[in-house]
Amino acid sequence: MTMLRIFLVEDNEGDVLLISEALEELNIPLHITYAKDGHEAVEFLEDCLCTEYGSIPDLVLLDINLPKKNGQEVLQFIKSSNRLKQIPVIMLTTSSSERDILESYQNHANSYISKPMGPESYQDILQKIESFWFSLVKLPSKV
Amino acid sequence: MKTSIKISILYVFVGILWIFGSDILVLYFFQGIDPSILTRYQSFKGVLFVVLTGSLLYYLMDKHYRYLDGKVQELEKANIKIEKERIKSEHARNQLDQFILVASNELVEPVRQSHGFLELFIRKNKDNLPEKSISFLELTLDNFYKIKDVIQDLVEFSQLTEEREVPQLVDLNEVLEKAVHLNSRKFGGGKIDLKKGNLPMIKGDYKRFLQLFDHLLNNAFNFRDPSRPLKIEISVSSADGYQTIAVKDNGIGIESENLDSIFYILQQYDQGLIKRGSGMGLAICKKIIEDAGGKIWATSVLGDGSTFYFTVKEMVSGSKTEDE
Repeated sequence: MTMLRIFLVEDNEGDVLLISEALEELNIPLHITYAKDGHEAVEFLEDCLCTEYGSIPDLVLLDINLPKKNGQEVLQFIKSSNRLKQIPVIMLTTSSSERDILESYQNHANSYISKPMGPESYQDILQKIESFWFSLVKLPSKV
Repeated sequence: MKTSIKISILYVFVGILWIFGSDILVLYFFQGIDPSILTRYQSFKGVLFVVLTGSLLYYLMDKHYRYLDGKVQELEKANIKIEKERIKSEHARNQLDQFILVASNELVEPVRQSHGFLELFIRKNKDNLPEKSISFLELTLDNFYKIKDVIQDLVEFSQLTEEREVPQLVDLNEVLEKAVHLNSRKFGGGKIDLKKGNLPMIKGDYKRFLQLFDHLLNNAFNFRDPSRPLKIEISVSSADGYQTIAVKDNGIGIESENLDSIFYILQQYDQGLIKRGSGMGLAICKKIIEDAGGKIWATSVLGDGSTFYFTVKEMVSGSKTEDE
């Protein structure tokens, strides 16, 4: 199984810890990269563009309320780049605001998921993300 | 007695007194005088009467107008005071809405994360900790679910104030179908016994009416009578430009003294005890319906079930017929 690269853009350390723990529990080979604000996220993605395709993430988990550059701006950056726009971007956020949901899809987010509020845990959510995006769905190869 | 009647009576009284009194005086002082001079005195007497009554009328009217002016000024002052109070209470209401919005949103993050960490801790240590300790932690976890429910309700409630959509044409049949579909897993895989009439088309916010039906269905489900299968019947009636939709269930029912308070966030009981009600669902329903210009109320027979009614403005166009 090839190593899956996940790029997590999240400013809240608690959530980073919870998400990474849940990702580790998936028991699949993963490489997780973090960015703690929008500016750092865009810098990382720009660096990816300068290097070979291998370092480009397979999936982006993106929070909306981020310092410096918000999640919508990061999303716009990804979706306006010819080499990045095919990456599935999943908005993972606390906001359940209709405005944020609409704006995310208008900016071509691939899905919008609320951070677990009910009995569903991060583990359940990430398991579903993994089984959908990496088992069921066919993604373009990077070469 | 009315001032106008008082003035009129006074006028008539003075007039009568003048006519008879003045004639007696003229006859007393000018007895045997030349009739042409007497006529002149009579004319003078008439003019004097008009001047006197005119002055009296002026005095009374002036007094009356001054009194009215005073009252108008008092009213103006009262109006200014009322307007100030209105602005103050609107400001307080906005502050409260803002407070609920901020408080609920600020609480979401720490509660969600604490819950996440606790759950993670239990999962990772289930085999290493004594059974009793795990059960304590699981009880704490259950409390987190309850706290999350309250916060979610608060967030939803505050969003009703924050987000307003442009009214669109909404088919309530479709909205209900969607609400049933969203809850189908919870209600036992679509086994819910739901009968519905011909729901109308309305002008409103689709999402809000979906929330409304979602809360009403959940309310019926949460307060069902475990001894019999849940039945929900939705019917429509029409009167005075409004359509009334009735959602009837065969649940446990509501005590008559609580029929009003169920629509408020907090229910106040005897001895000033304040207790959170059955969730904020019905308070959210009330806000949705009142914002749309309608009314919501409930009737109930304890042990037999409850009926929730809400009104929507009637539209000219028809609606679909469908039964589930």
